[in-house]
Amino acid sequence: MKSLEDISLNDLKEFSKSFSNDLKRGVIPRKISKISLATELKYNLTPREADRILNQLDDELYNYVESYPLAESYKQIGKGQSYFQDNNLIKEINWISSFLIDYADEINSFLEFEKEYDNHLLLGNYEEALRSLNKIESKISVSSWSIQQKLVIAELDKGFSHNKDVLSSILSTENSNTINFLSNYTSIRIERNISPSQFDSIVKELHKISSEPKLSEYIQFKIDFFSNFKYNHFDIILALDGQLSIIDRYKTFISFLQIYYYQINRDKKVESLLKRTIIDLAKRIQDIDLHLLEVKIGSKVQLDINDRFFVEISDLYTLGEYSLLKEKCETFLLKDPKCFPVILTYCKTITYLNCTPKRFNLNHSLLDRIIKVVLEFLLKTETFTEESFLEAYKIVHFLGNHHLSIGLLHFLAQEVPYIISPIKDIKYYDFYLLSSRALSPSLHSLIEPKYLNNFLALFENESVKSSTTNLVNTLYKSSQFLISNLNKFNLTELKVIAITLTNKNEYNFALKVYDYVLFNNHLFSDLKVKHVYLDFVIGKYYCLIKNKSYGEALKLSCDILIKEPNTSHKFFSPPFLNVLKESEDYELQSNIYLSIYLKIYESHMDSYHVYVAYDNYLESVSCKTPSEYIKTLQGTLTIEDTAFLDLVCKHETLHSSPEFNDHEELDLERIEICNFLTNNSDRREKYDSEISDLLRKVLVRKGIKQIDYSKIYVDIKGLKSTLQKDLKESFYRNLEIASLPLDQLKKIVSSLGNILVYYYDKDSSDVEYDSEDIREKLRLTSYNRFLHFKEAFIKIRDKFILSSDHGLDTYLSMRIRHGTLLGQIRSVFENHNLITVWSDQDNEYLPNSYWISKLQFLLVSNQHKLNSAFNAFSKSIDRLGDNLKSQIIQIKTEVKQTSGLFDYSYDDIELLTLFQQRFGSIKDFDEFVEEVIQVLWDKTEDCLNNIKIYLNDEFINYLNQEFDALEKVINTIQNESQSNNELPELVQTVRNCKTAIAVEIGKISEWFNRSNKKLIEEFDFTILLDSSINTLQSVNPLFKDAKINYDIKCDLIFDGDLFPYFTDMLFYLLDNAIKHSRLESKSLYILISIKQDDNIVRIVIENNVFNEKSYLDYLDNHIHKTREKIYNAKFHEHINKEGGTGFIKIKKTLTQDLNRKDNDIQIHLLKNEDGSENIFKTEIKFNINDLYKNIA
Amino acid sequence: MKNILLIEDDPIKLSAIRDFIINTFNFNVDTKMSYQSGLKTILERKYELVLLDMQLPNYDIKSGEDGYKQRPLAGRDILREIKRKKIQSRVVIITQYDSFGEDGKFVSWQEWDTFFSEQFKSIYYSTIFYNPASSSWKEQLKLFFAS
Repeated sequence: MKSLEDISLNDLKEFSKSFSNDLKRGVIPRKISKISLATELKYNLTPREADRILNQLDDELYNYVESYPLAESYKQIGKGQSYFQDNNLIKEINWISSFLIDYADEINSFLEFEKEYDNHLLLGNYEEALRSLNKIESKISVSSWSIQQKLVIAELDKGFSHNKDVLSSILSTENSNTINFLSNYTSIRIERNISPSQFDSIVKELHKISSEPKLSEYIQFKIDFFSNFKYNHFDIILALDGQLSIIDRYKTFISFLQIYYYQINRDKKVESLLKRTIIDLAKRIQDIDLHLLEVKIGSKVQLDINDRFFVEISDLYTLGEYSLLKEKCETFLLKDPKCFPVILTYCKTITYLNCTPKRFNLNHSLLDRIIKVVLEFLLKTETFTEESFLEAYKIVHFLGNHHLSIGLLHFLAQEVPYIISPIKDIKYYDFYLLSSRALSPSLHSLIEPKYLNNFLALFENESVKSSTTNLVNTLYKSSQFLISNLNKFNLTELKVIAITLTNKNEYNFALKVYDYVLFNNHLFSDLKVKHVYLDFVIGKYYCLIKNKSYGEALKLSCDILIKEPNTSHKFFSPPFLNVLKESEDYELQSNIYLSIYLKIYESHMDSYHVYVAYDNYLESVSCKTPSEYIKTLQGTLTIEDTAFLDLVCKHETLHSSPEFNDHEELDLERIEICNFLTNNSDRREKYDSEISDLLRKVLVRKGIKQIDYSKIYVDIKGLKSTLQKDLKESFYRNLEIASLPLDQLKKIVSSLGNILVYYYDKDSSDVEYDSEDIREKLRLTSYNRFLHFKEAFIKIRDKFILSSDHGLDTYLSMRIRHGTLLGQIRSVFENHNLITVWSDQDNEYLPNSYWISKLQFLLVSNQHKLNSAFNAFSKSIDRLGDNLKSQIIQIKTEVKQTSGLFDYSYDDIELLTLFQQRFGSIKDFDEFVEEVIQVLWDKTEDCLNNIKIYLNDEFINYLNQEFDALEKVINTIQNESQSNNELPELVQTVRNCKTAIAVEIGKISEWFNRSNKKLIEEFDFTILLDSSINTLQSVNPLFKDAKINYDIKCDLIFDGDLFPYFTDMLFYLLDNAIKHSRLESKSLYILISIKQDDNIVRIVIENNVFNEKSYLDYLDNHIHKTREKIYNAKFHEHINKEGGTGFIKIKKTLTQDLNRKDNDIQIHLLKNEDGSENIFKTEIKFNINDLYKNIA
Repeated sequence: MKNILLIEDDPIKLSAIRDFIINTFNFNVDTKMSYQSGLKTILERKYELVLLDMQLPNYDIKSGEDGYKQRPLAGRDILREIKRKKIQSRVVIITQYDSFGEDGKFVSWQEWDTFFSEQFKSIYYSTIFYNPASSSWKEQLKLFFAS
């Protein structure tokens, strides 16, 4: 005997040949293996030869070869040997159909039970459904289908956890992989909270694992049926499901037949085999699906009682007898809720009768859900939203390959034709009809012309003549005949005629039908039903597009869309959109409807096209802006003008126009449009609300600007009032002394000596100093008088720059140095994730986890290198910022020697010059003070210029050096690294940041302008909070994600002059909240309450804080110390210092700037022992006497 | 003397390019710093050449304003308008970035170059890659003006 190694390929072929010969003769070779036997039976023998062999097999071998068609347990399903030969669809069809014929009795029983099961399931009787299912399993066979249905019942009845309980009771290592796989994924698909897209992504992952396209098709067919309708490998689907139970085999085979007939290109050989098979099966199996397939192939069928009932329903619908139709549909659905055409007819009837649908189950059955969603689509009331579509699609997805889901998807495809895209390339309508469970004349389109008469005769033999059959017969008459007899048809018939003409590409004829209906008075009442009217309008719309009457199509659609925005999905046509976007036709471009239409579908394209349409239209009417256009409008405003102004002329379109120079102009333009619409439309409230919202935004933005413009500030009013006390008296006394004769002076002022100084008399400023005239103005005075001037000047200067109540340094500290400056600079780097914060705990900068996690592919050494570079970068940026704050933006005088650029130093020569040229002749104190302040402002201007130059030049250079250093490290790593996917992103980010910081520094340098602009005339607390919080969130990233809520119960309106003071207070209050919370931005909650109680305003800020005992103790202690500082009111000592508590500065603002002497500030830490949040609370109270302007 | 419009929001890059063109070629260079101000100027005045940054704020950024929004493809948007309004100017894109795009979809500047060459045949000249640390952008500008 030959060993296995000795057997050659030729030997094997010989063996096989001899086996085949034996088997063909009806003899089972003794040495044949099980797998060879199975393969021979399926692929090499004829069905008859195979039958002869199968009859000889014992039970074990039979079940092995046939794979347990009547499985008793889940582990038996799919447990036969798997054998599959490529590209042998005909063999697979023969193999599977021979079993179906053999097990016809079992299949018939199954179909009876299945009907019972489906009725219970769809009507929401889950216990009965489960009983029916158990009956199927015990009396016929368990199956992959029954497993899936058990999961469906569990999910529908008791939800997710029950679904998973049932799943775990099914899954077993003894089951075939196919059963476990199908059970698992069905269980996921039917979860009520999983969206179709989420499930799709899970399946996509599966497809990635299975690189074999045939297996991918099987997965698609079994668990994600509606993801794709193209099948190239049905042989493997039949082979794999051919190993499951007879129920699975039957269901798959019927699906295969239905799918086969929706394909446009069909194999003739296969089709001929299928015809025979359908006839054979239909002889033995009583199933409506098979009967419909018989209709499709032109075979003669008989109507049963159910079919007659359906024909009756069709006829009632054709005749428009809705009351009776409603009853019939309800009766029918109780018997067969799987019939989608009846559900659709029922829903349409409900809309005609304007009544509520029957509730088939109090617990909202699947049937009720489907009716509800179909009605939402038909009625398109306010309840119709994106959710309706999602709900419908979810049901489709939940049911999977099921009669109702196929029907519902067809309905969705009619309603939202371009969203349901996969069915474009197949004859989905044929698929729908074949799965419709309804045999009626409406199937005429399925049938080849040669079989049509026989088919229609089936209905004509009935005692009552079918009106639907009459209609179908009419459709085959000439188009001219139809058009000439329109008055003989009712609305339903006219609709079918119009659709038929459209399908025959006879658009002009179809348009005649549509116009006949839409402009015919006697049909007017029928057209009141929204979906009926829409069906005609939509039909006309698509005919107009096909006829290239684009302008008319635009007008027709927009007139409806403007009134009924919920209809937008019905008019959505990507090919039409493409035509409109690309068209250079002037007539179309100057059509006002074009921009409206494009605006409605803006989300499906580049919004630039909307702008182009807007601009072209305005140009066609010789206008540049909507406000110009408004001026051209006369008389009653048309619907299209209103829509153009309302929908199109909005910020998102206007911002592309070069006509508006900034955000404010954009807002003002829109306000003008809304004002116009308020006076010319019936939606006054809508536009009023938009106007007030825009006005508030304008004000908030002004507030934000005001905050920026108020940074360089000296309280001149306060300053002058203190000077009155300190200087006025001595000024006049010195003046009187100086006017004494010299000899008298000598006696009074011993220090005088013999020195005299000269000065120029008044009005000398406009005289050239070397001219002749100047000599006439020259005066002599004592040196002592110059010394008095010097003393007074320096005193005023010191108050101007250093007074803690009124001086520049106080405001520099409060409005620039205290957090704002560093925050503004840091925020740019933080937004680009290039710097991290310093950790006191670790005594170093935190690692840059953002980039390091993105760059995991780098060598660990390179990750370290990069992190060190980030640390160094963070350190340098903070150092530069700190230097700017503590060294550069500082006051310098001849006494206070710093490197600050606010240099107010004066030497004697400068002062003498000032005295000679500007002060010597001044005899009035107020004039003197004014002049000193003017000189100091001039000096301030020089300082501000120097700061701006420093910022934009030197400071940027320093920053760029740091950028270069960082980029150098990145480049080194990039050069070393093999795979550098993310490094270009980092390089790009560094460059982005470089631009952003340059722009930001430019903005910061704008702070250093002395501005007297009062941008905001008046404000209330809402505007104050909006602008302050907006500014703070842009300056301080720690606030970015904080949840800040307000509760304002105060309608006071304040003068714009007070705006900066209130923002100062709010900044400090919020800054304290952040500081004391020690929480990350996203965990921080801040509540701001503002209440007015008689003449007292109470501002309370509460925020949660880090919940850790030692920290809470520290905070308690800190609050105690702060309270002491506040009560002692020693703010003069602290006011110009950065860091520390902001409460002193709040106190100063209240007391000095707002002149609220009787203010009160309370700070508390509210500790909650019960584990809830601990709250840091600040409360400030002040009276409002003489503070507010009026009440809103 | 040629009239050139430079639209660039980075003040440092703007100065570097403007100074280079003025000092080297003695051309007249107007500058704008946003999509809107740039486009408005193009529509109002005739320029032989427009040097365009790709990313720009919608409006000029001023103190207390953020420019309304950042337009990631402002350069393309301006090119489209030049074509639509039939403006007789040539355009050179001058960028620091390897790729640009919007809504998270980035395309390399070489691909944009191909796209622009096809879409804006008689307008678009080329894209110059700007790197402050290198003089190659200057060389490319010189080549452009020489041609």
